[in-house]
Amino acid sequence: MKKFTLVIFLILTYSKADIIIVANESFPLDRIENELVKKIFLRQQKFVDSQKVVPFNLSVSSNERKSFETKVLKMEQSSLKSYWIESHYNGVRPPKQVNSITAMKQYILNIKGAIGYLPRDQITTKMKQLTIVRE
Amino acid sequence: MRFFSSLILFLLVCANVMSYDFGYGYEVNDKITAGGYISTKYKNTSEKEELELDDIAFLIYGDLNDRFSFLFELESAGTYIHYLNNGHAEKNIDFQVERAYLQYSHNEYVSLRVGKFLAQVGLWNLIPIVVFRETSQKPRITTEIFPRFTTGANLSIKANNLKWDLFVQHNDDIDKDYNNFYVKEHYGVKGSYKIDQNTFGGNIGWFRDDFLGMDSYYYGIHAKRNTNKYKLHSEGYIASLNYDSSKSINMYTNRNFEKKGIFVQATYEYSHPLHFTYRYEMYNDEMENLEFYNRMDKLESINLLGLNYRPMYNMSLKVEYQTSSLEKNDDIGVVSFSVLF
Repeated sequence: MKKFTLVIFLILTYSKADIIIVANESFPLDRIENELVKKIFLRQQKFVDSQKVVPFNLSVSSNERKSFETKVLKMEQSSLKSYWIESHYNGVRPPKQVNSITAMKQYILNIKGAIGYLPRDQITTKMKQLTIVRE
Repeated sequence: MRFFSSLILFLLVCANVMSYDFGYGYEVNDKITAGGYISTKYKNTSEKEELELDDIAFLIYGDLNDRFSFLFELESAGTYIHYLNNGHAEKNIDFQVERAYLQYSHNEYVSLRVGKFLAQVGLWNLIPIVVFRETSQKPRITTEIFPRFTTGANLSIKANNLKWDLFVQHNDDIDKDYNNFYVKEHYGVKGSYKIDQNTFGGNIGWFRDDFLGMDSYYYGIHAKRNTNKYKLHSEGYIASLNYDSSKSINMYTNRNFEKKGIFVQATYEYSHPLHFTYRYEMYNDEMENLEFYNRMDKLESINLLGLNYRPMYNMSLKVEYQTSSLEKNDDIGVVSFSVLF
């Protein structure tokens, strides 16, 4: 009954433009706060519960990435650029960028500790849905 | 100059031929990245006028596996200086190790760095290249109070927004001429707390300089606030120095002196990419004052006004003017250009 209520709740609250923070099944958490997602994608935190986590980004021009950066990272493109240039000098690379949603799904399904984001209609049952980023 | 033009040409070729993203380094493969930076400056004081190819540096870093990473950086400082008043020039293409370390990340809380790295003191010391700084002139307290580099080990412990760094050095520096003190021993701890756009923290440390025959306790605090439009940054330190009788090279053996100072710096983004910076610093060096003025308590006031034009974040053109209240220190005008690649 609980599961059924949750599914109904998610269906009712989903909007088409929402994106979902998703992760490989090995990811150590079932739910995640935005603050932790931000730390992972800014490469300030590389482990969760002692397990290495691997963030993936969609290409800069994708709507999902723009939405993710505005709503989760809460940073403008210019701030992000300066952040990554400074990080380069400190020996830190940005998350790996994938070219398509299909590629993102493949990485999430196959890489241990992978975390990324997808539009809700691209979610499959073999990945963990950690949180919804509302449009 | 030929070297400089060749380097620029090389970078342009790199940018076109390889998958090179300007400012983010060149990804050699999935794990290894290479990059570097150059800075040049024109400096004018009442005594001299010089044009300088200030720094050339190359760095390479990467992940060895999930837990081990490394960084190696070579730098040549003061590579070419042309004195405009008398036409003389100095060349010094001598690359030295600026940073060389291996890092082990145990989990999200604990990591250990071993090798040569920037001493975890304050905030200014951790942004050692001109391109990221708001001014090319350094606050005096960031070069006079503590060693800029540590060759040893640094243990970092993070818990939520709080971070502790414990560092230890019990050996000579790697490339010991490339540090502001001849450090033989250095022990210190730093605590910092970061919340939203604000960072606060403090340091305590002790080090020994064998060349000067001196040991020093130092402690200090720092604070920074960054917003999209302005940045505020302040650091203050006190150091207590003891010159021993056996090795000291100056005449004040078996004496204690104090150095202390504080700076406050405000940067305002007038309109992208133009920033204005004002810095005020107070500094007192008892031993220096005794040598020059025969008294210990002469406080130096340093004012700096700067303009920073940053068309891209990895490129910076700065114009600044610094005045000092002490007669022995000249007012300085500097124009500098720096780029990270």
